[in-house]
Amino acid sequence: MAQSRNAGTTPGEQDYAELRSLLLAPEQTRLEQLREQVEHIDLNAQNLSRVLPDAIALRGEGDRQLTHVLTPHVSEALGTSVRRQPHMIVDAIAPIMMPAIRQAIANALRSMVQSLNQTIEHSLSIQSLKWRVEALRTGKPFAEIVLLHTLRYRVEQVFLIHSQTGLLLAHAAGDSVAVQDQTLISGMLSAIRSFVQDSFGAAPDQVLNTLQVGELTVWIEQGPAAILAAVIRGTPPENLRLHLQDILTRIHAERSEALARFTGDAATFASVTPLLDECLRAQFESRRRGIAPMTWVLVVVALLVTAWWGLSSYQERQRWQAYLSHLAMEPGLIVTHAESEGRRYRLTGLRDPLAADPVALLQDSGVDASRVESTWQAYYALDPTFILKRVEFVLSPPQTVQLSLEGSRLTAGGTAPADWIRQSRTLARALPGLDGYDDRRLVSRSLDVLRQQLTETSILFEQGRSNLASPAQLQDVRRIGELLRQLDDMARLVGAAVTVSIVGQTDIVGGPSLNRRLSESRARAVLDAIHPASFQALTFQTRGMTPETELQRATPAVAHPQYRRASLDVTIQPLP
Amino acid sequence: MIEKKICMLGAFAVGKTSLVRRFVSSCFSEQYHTTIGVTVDKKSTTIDGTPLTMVLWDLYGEDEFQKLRASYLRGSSGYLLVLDGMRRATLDIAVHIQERATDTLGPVPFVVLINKHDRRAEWDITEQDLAQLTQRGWSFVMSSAKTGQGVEDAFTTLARAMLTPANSSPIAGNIHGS
Repeated sequence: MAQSRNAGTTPGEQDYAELRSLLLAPEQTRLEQLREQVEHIDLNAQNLSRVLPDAIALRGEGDRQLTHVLTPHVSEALGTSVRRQPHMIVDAIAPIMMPAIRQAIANALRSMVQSLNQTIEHSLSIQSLKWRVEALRTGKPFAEIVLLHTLRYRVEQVFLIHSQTGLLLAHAAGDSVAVQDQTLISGMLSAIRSFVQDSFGAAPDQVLNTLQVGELTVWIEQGPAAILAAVIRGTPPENLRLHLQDILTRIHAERSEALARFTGDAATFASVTPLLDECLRAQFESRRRGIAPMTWVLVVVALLVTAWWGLSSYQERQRWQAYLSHLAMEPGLIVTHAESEGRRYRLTGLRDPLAADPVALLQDSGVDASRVESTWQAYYALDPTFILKRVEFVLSPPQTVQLSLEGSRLTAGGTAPADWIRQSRTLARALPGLDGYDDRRLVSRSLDVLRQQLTETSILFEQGRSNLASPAQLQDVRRIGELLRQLDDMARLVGAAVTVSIVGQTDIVGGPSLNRRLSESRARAVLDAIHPASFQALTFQTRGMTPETELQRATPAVAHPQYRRASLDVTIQPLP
Repeated sequence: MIEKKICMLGAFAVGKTSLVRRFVSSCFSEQYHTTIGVTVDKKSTTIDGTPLTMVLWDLYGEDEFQKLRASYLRGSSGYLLVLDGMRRATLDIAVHIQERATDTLGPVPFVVLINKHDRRAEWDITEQDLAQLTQRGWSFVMSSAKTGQGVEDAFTTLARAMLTPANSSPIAGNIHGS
């Protein structure tokens, strides 16, 4: 290519080329090398790695485009990394986050306790009642009245103002504080300070540092380049001023250059807002370090209520257990299941119809019956006392009968009418729990008593007469008839042969033959009067009996009316 | 948001407060209220895409009893120097105030307003006076707080000058009367 170029050139041009080659050969060689590099530049990783940090730094200084471009990719990469290896981010942030979380929890708890304390105090105390009355009277909200009475001081707003221009650098305000135009306030504060200082010819270091407007106080702290103005409601403590000075000093220390170069752009001071927030303090007069008395009262009341509740629960449970024990000991009652749910009880069991009433027992036990739900199934109890009880209930024995239980055998004693004896024999067989029924003593005794009653009975006659006409005689006849009816009934029941002898008697008046006839006549008169045919199981005999010789001897001339009579003699064969 | 302090300077009763009211609230009152001390007002606007809040210090008017105090001027990024076209004396006071302002603030931008242009026929300031002002290197805006004439223009011009880096007084030299 050089030859063809040389071939087509004039000698002058060749000389020139030669001269140029002689003069610029090294530079030309270097230029060629550079051209080669530029044309065949290899943008490989190695080359890029050398320039990348500088390139990023250079571009970052220029504008924010690099940030905009990289942000989504960095965000996505971070997200992916966290999803894949979450423990890495946990390990990284745990040392930072844990103290913050602990502090946040502690603050929340402290705030909650304080809030509870205040709520109790403000809702229950006599003072709070006064405040409520005041709120009603003045038409102000209760919260405002409480604030007015309890607030010692509260820093409501803080202004950081550039000294020279009077322009606002930063501002912070408490919750629920009505904020006016901060720019104008900053300007007016600066103007007022200048006005006061100029008007009173004060020295440069003697500046206005306090304004008082009603309940509001404005404390102004002067720094080299900025002033800090705090709007305070109430009476602030002196140490608050030290705190304000400290904050202002810190702001000057941290932002001295920005303060010196301030040209009106307050955005650069946004970072000092947290420092201003530290100035927003408040203190309440009624706030106590300890727990409020009303809280103590409430706690004590709560403890007493709990203790009372616990004691009453314990007592009720004791009563319930006593009731269950009582039920367990009560014949005819069997508790099959007992449970309690809180203060309610459920009870199921078996109850003999003749057993004591569980509801009545429950009322006697002192347990609240409305809390007990009981279900009782009927059954027959077979324990001895209960068998006897049931026997007495079923047989309903007359008072003359004594029933006793020997093992499972029922024994009856005393006396009873034949009807009852007959009926009880039938019923006793049907009673559960009884193996046998022995009423021999009852029957024997009943017969014996009847016999004795008949034997002791007599009908008196008038002298020389054998007829039965007087009311007394007829009454005696009826009584004898009734006893005989019972005797007949009993004899038929037991199958005994009963012979009733009617014995007529006379006194000693009259002759022996007359008296014999008279006595026999009297016996027959009684026999006729009692209608012997109606007594199927009885055999009647009559006989007369003359007076005793001894009696006649002893009282020879005296009539003995008691011997003018007819009496009965009863013979029972065989005795049961 | 950039904030700039601007002072309203001038002799008493030249209309400084009325100009501020016209600029901030777009209203005007015939009633005269003398300003005692300072009244601070503000107006937010946008100058060539830059949001700006002008904090306007409306100072009391200077007379033989009350002289302008430097402490109010300090920190101003610019000021409006107001004259009353109907009172020749306000021109001399303005010259005096401008010198003091320069002493205090250095070469900051300012705009001269010759106010009460709505009563031009009654003006005491003559064309010759205006020519002297021009010779002084000042230019000026004929304004009327009553009609609003020149008010917005003056504030906007001052604001633009304040936002321009390395500006030096008097920018009013670029302003021509209307």
